[in-house]
Amino acid sequence: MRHLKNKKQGMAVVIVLTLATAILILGTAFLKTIRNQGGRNTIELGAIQADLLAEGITQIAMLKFKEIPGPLYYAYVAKVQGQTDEPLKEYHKDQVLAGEFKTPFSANFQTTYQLLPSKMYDDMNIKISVVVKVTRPDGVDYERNIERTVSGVRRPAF
Amino acid sequence: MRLSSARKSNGVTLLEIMIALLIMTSAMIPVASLMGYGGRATSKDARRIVAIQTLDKTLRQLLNEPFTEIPVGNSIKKTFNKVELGTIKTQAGYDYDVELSSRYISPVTFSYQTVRVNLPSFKPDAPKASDFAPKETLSLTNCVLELIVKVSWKEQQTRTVDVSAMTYRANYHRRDG
Repeated sequence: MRHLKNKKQGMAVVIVLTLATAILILGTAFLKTIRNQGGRNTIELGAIQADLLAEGITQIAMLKFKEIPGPLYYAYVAKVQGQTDEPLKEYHKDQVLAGEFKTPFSANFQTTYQLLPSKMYDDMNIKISVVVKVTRPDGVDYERNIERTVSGVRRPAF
Repeated sequence: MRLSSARKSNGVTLLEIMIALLIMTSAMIPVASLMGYGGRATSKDARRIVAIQTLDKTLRQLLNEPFTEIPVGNSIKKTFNKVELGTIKTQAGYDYDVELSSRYISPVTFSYQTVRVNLPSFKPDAPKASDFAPKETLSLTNCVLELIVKVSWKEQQTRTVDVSAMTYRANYHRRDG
């Protein structure tokens, strides 16, 4: 009987130690969650950087199409007809439309023109797709694909 | 005597309670400080979210401004048209410094291959490889602006933190009289 009583003595310390350990484990988990969430709440900077960059590259792509629409038209037709795809590749080669940079953040991008049903020297309709991938310093990637459809109608000279 | 001995051995002693309280207190102190840490982290996140929203709003406004009215230079902090630059105080009471750095990508070059439409063999519906002229480039000056906006703010009243993004603005109306 005395042996049993001796065993009961000190139980409060054991219970409190167990509880304290459980609280500390929960606290550590809480701390880890907060640290991992840092800067990732609701709005992702990388996604916005990718989106804005894609908008800007789309503007450059539209400028090129506005300045030199004819070569795109014939290059696309030549490719679709199975004649040659070199001129279309050449049209997509520009560094401002397909390239990469490291500052102020790391990103790479690719632009694609697609000809929609069009009639040269009458009306031209194209779809511009810009794919941007922004890489955060910790290696997380954000990809954005922006598509714009442009319709061009030939204006009479007079 | 028997009663006194039974009381001594039964239940929880004052010493046990004191040790238990001491252990519990030392476990609760870091937990309580964690609560404060959580609150500070939430405020920090809120400041960052507002900064990113400001960055997004500023650049989207720049994309809608007339090309010729966008100033060119480094660290521009003067507000123009609808684009708010310089020190901005938000409704949440945070202060942000918004600055614009813009420069021409000049010349911007576009490569292409023209088609020799005057060749007798040329068919508009099926241009052949031989119908295309060698590679050419079109160089345009002062037609594309690179726009970088940086939003900075103070954390813990001393450490400056910033977020930045970039975009491009093209001049579609260069030929317009």
